[in-house]
Amino acid sequence: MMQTDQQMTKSIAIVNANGPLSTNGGKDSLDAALIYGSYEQPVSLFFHADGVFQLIQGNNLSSIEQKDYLKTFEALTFYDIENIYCCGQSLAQRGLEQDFAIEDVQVVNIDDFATKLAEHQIILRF
Amino acid sequence: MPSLAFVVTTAPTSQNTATAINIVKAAVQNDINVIGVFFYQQGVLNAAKNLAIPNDEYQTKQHWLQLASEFNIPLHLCITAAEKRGLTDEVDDSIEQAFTVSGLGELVTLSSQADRVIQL
Amino acid sequence: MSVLHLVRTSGFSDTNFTQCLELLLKNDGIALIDDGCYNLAHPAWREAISKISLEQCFFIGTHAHARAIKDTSEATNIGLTELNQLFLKFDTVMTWQ
Repeated sequence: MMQTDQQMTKSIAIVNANGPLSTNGGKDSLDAALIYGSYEQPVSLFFHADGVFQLIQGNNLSSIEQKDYLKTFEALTFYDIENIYCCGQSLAQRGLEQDFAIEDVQVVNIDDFATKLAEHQIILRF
Repeated sequence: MPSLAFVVTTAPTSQNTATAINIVKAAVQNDINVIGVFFYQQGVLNAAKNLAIPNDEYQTKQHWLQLASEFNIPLHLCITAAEKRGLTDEVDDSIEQAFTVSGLGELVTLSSQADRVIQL
Repeated sequence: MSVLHLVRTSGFSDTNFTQCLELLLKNDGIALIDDGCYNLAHPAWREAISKISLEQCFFIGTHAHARAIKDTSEATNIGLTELNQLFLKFDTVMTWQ
């Protein structure tokens, strides 16, 4: 694992708020999360609003010739990214079940989601 | 002295980029150490050498260059994001010299060193 | 920990502002910048004020005036110097754009 110049760590929250094909944000945020993870910075992922569409079962990006970056979610544990929070209210608003393409997704209610997010020192939203 | 790092994700054509420039300027003028600006996503376009903005419009790039030279603020470019958008530091160099070619690892360094990271 | 929410878009054209309100906690602050200033007239602005104290609601005066938005008593008019001070006063900054 790589180390930064100063051996300080900050807790980082990366929030996804768009669907997998809405913007490039999902892929860009995942790239950032993996780099933070490889430098041993504690990273948590949050999925809010349309971001929850990234987690659910059945996305098929390659069917329209897009890179299936969602497959990389399976590698998150290798980067010690274990806190993956999904907003329960966002799921409910969209009529979605808790049927995810990856394991270890924690569905939390909106208050806990906000509280957990606020515990981080850096928040980036994509 | 308190320190800030900025992540800029908006294109030079966006009015929000002018806001980012003014915020960074206000920070350094008020004794805040801006340890770096990291350009990501569409933000990398701010480093394009061949930007030609009409004279009567806001000169985004000139303002970045002035910030960098006047206050010694490091401008870091995510090269992966830049190359995707046609900018390269190799053949036909298309990146302004004031911008340092970096990767996301630089964002990690800025994150670990700054008191706050502000995404704009 | 307290979060300063930096809102940069109008709630009349996208859902950034209303999403922000979902995650707003009582010790948080809101700073409206750029098109975010239009939210001063959004029906949900009242909800923001009721969730956090009025003293923690800010807008960039120059950004509002550039958009023909009139002064209001429902948020504090600040400049970019004060905005930078807010970045440091709150524990984290979250940007909605």
